Amino acid sequence: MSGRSRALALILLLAGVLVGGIVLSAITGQLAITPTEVAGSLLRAIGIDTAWAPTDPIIESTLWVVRFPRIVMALVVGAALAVAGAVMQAIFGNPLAEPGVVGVSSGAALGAATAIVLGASVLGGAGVALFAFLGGLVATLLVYAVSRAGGRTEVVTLLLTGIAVNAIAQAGIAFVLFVADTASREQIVFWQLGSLGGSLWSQVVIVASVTVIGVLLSFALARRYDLLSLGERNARHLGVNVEQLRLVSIVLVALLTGVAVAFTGIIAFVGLVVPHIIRMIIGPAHRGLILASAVGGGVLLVLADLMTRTLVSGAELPIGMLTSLVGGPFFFWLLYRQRRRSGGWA
Amino acid sequence: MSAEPGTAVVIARGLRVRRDERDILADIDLEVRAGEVLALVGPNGAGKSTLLSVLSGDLQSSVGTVELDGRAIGSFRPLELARRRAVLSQANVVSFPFRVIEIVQMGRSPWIRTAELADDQQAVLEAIRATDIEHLLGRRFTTLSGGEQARVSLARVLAQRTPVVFLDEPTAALDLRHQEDVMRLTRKLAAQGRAVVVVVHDLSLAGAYADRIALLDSGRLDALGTPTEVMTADRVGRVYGLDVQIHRLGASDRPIVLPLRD
Repeated sequence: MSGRSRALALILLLAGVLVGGIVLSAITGQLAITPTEVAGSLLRAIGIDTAWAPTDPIIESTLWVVRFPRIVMALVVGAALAVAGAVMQAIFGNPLAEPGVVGVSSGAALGAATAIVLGASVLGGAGVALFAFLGGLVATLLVYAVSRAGGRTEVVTLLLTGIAVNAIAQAGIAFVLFVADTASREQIVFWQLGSLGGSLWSQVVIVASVTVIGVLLSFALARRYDLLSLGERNARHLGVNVEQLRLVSIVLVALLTGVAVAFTGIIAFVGLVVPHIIRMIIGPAHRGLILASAVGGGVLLVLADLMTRTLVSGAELPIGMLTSLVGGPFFFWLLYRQRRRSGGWA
Repeated sequence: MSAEPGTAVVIARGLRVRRDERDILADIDLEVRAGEVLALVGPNGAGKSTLLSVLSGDLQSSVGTVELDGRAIGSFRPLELARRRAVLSQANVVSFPFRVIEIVQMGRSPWIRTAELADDQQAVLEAIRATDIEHLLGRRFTTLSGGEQARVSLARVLAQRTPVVFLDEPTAALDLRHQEDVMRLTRKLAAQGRAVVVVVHDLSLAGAYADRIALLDSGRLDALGTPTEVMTADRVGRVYGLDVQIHRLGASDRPIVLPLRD
């Protein structure tokens, strides 16, 4: 099967899993709702009245106020993080670059925490997102400026830079926590764990629009990312304006990570695990990779969110904890493999 | 696509490159002509790769000018440049496990959304044949040997189909046969009217295939001319600091350079 048809098949498969995950997520919870009621409610929303439509207003509001925004949030945050990871790996020329690992998420979290303490109520949801974006941007620029040598980033340098950036950002967050009042403090702590609970439509709209723009832009740049895999000089020989591409991509990563982190907190490793698995299945060409990563990231977070709600009855696990629990060992394995292949920490 | 044979397509005047208070290149005047193979030779650190970088527009010289098709090379946008000149660099590491065929196809990317796009398949196919990599197409670039990677990278450069081609040590990692193949290929490109600039270490290889040879010594152009003019035992001996003898095989006036051995 050619690369393109493989990519298409994978995207369709993922879309199928996604629909299943969404339905499962919509019917699961303290209030049991049947799949037909979900379908009926959705159909009614687009103007088609069926016998399936729920008559109980509690079911209706549970779906539309609690579960749907949460599912859509999981979907777009997952897509944003996975694509941010793929873009970051492309510009660093390193498959281990990931917003969470190198500290972009922490930077964004620091920005958002600052916004909360300064009074998010005044700035509104968009204010938190803006601060998260700025925090993420500063962190990305810092990592990029420090860790690259000769157009590439060695694994060790990247990870060490990540440690440093994470340390600085965590110190900043600690300081913000220290000066915060109790309410803000609770909000910030909750965030660092990462959660999709309590997602509002107003927030979903912000995250979704930025994600859609970000994914489309990344897709438009995909061919150039392919060329960048040949190294910066060779990419330039093939007509890529490397400086411009770098700059746009850094803003893109900060934007996607910032907006994802702004409302749901730090959900690490999505940007590492998803593009990596996709690459193993359909190869490294970036057009397929970016699209499939967007869908795959959405699938992963919808399913992960479902698990956080069902693994422990009566309680909800933080989703950031769950993704790190899975992503951490995966990262170990990647490191081990890369190290064995290159015979050292190249 | 190509200029009339003999036309100077790249003109360098008074080039000087300074780095760390030291002249890496100085007082270089050079023309690269359509339809010729120009070999850059010289000892390690003589400035061959730096000169290639300046001529191909990668590096801005501190003093002096480089013109491509009568225009300052710095005034071209990257894409315009990519349609006029291709460069094979020494470092050809690929970050992700792309397949060989994908790498070669990347050579066509400057021509996306142009009329030349119609030649894509033909250009890729020719490049693959010329570099003898048919049997590697399905492999991942990252799993190839050094010599195979070099040939695939060369195929990518050929697929770009530009009037000017810069090759930085294309024969370095290659076996005897593929070295000859690559140098024959440069002759074929020149016969099509392209200008080929090639950095080589093997003086006999340069002598056998180049129209002109530029011999660099400590950043200066020691000699520029036909192989017979440049390759004298005195000059080569002085520049490399090694006694050599120059041989000619049969009726050919192509010099073969051998070190004097006991």
